[in-house]
Amino acid sequence: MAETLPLFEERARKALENARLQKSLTQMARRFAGARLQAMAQFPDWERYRQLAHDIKKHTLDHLGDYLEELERRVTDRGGRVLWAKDARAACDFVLRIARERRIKTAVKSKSMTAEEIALNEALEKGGVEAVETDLGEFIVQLAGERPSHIIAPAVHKSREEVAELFVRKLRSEHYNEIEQLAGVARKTLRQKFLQAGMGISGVNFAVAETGTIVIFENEGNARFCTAAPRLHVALMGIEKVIPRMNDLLVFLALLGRAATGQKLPSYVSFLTGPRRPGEKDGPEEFFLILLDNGRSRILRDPLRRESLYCIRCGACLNVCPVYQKIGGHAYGWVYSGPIGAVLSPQYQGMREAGELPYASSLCGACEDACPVKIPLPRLLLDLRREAIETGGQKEGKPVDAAERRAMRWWLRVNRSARSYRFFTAIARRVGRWKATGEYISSLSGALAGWTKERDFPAPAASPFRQRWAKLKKQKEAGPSS
Amino acid sequence: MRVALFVTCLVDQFFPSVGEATVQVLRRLGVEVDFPEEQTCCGQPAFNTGYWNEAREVAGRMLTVFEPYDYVVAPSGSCVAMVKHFYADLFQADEQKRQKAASLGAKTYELSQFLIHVLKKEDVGARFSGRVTYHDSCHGLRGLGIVDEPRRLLRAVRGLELAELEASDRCCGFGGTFSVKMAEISVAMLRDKIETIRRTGARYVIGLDSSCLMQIAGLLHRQKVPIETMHLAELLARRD
Amino acid sequence: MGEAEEAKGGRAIELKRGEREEILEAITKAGAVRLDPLLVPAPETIEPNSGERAAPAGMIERFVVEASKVGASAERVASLEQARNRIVEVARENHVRVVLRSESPLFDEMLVDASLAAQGMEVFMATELDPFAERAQSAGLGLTDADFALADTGTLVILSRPGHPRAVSLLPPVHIAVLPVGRLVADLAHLFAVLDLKQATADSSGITFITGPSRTADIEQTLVIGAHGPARVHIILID
Repeated sequence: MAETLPLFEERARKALENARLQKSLTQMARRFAGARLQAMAQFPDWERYRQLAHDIKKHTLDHLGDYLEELERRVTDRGGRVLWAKDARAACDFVLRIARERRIKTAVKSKSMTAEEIALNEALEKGGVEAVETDLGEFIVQLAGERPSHIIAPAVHKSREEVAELFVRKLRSEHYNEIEQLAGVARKTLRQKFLQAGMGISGVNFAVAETGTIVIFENEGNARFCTAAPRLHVALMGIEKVIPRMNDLLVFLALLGRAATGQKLPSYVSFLTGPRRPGEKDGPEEFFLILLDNGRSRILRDPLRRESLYCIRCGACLNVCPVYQKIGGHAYGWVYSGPIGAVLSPQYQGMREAGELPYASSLCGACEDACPVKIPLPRLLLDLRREAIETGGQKEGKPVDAAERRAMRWWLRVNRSARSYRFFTAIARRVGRWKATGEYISSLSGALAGWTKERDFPAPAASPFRQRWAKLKKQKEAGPSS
Repeated sequence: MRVALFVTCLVDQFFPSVGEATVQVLRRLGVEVDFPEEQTCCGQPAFNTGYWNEAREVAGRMLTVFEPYDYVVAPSGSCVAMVKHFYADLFQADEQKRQKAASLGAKTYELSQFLIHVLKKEDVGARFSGRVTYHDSCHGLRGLGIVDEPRRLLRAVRGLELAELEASDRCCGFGGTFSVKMAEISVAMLRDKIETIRRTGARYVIGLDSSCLMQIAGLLHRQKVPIETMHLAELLARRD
Repeated sequence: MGEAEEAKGGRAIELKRGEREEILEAITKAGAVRLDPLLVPAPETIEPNSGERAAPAGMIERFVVEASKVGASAERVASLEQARNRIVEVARENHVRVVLRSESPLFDEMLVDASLAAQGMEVFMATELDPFAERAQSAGLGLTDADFALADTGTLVILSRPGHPRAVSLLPPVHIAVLPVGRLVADLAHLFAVLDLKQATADSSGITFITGPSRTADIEQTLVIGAHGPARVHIILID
């Protein structure tokens, strides 16, 4: 990444201090929580479907090469073209070359995390192609020059006043106070773009190998526009998005909407197979499917890590994560946020860039519970923490906390025998009780200083349990007294 | 049956009355526990922070210390979850240790689980008049599937008024070293938890993990809120 | 319009397939096993279900209820004439002046064009013009049939094909879909049982599931009905 972002700590702090963001995050959490619970309650087979989805994903990745080849064959049979991009640069180059050949000046884009991952918009702009985001939330953040802060709700951090001002500034629209009016402004502006653009770019929720069909979920209708109006459609997908058969959609269609927003189905699900057929008057004349590796084949190597590729980008883990609910998406520093972001970013970007993220979790496990494909997120976070420490390594460009290393070495010394445990805890007890007022300590230094800034820390007990044991044991021998 | 008390380092050093209460409750139900004095720590602090080598060495001792027992009982959801779920990851590369860890895991119980599922008791003869609310510790809830057990035990306490806590299953923000590494986020999460606790009108917050209770008490005490934390074991030991 | 025009046709773009072999090799190295497709054990999935189904009457009721839950409106009529009259009524309610419709024998049979024209409305057939062109944009109503409808979610299933472009159910702010009740199925599993998807995806480049009007909640998490697609969806089931 070209930009130097401030450290995670700073980004998190900024988010915690942003009252409006906090309000939006709380609102969103409440809304999604309610919708999800209702959706689950009405779908008694939820657990069974989750397991099926998990197993289908596992199977697919176990035979990924086969399924990608089958997908390629089918798409080609239907008149589409499949391109294989090993990394972000290759993928962006493909899109640019297509654009150049066809003299495309404007491309309309529907929501795609993968496109963000490869920084496609920047590449297009550099290549002289105007890349217009058409999902309302993405449109807003694009105008504002920011990054989306949530998989499903990219502009959750913006208030209506901010959006209104943005539209006045960037679109020279009237100043509107009502959200409906603001949506109307976007609709009008983007309608023109849909009809002008020579190229539509979309992501892919699922790609069915059996038929060469890509499936796109949405509520606004912008993806339908992007894939019906322009003469060219370029679909971008990570290689892990392929699923074997049409019937597998019966599992995934039931899970995605419910996990993401609590809806049974979104307003639109599009099943697109190649370019328009002879006699059709809309739909693309040319269809390109770009298969993106960009590190996925590397992640595939590890049997635990590869489970992070099961992700269907529903955003459920974000919605239930108590940490995400406090710091929002931008704090995670890249395209993917929340628990899945904390798992993917270090694997794609490396520990240097994203090594703090696996630690931005209390390991509560709510994410794993919510995940429709049963990704073992807490285990992955723990494994990444192990990697951070064992690779000796660096996190965000600085060496692993030396003070922490020392503390852990002490911890080992203390706990490796009952004798040293008793010895060292006796010392800590003396110090602790000396610092305490009553049963609490209000100020600690060193590793624990972070605690006492806003909380009191318990004083060590005057006599630990093991010192009381002898007496306790004797009580029994004397017979129960009460 | 030979039952060992796995007191946990946190309870041992900071909340020994929880350990005492555990012994007393079990004793009342006819179970005399042993306390193997060689025990130190389950290894969780190092494991959670990524220091698996250090954790492995300390956790390895547990495999031997508790070997001679039929059951191991601990007043802590997170320590039990560590033994039951994460020892498998820690000892993945050592077949012998992995097997020992599996047998240890199979016989280790968090207190409320032991009472309900092994001793088959809901009423432990406790009496306590007061309004309390119950916080679901994450490891207990999601790691061990403990939902009903503490509630059943609480409902059998004579004189007790149990108020259900809103979003009781939302994390209090402790998360081990997270509570100091990411202190600001930890406290932000904690504030939400305190808010819901206040709304119950309860005088006491009950939990089965001293780590959560320590986190919650830390802010209650700093802000001089007249609500106290109490471990489930301590409540069950009361006969007021 | 110019750019869209320019973009069409021309010679095939010279593009090598990319790093295909490299990627496939990396995948194989990562432990993904390459097997003869016939030997790949299929994982368990949900099978399409063509067993006993609720009586059509029950499904109609269910459909109407579910459609309304997702913000659409649906009704059952007893004849083509009634359907036509309802179309005209809804068009008038929405002050429609231009209608864009797809080519279905249903519309010919019910003589809907004449009735709409009698109200002073202009009717364009999808085949008459470029579905995304200027004139089509002015349409206040899009009239389509539907190939199937799903009772348990209030969903319309429309296959794109000659005479049935995607634009008709996308461009205008109001969408009316008409279908005989025989095309109503219980749910997705039932649909997959009665529709040969392999064939359907071969024949149709764009199959769309429409569940209610378009919507967005991207600003302050507040729901707005009517985003880029229609803001109003009305479904007429002909019994």
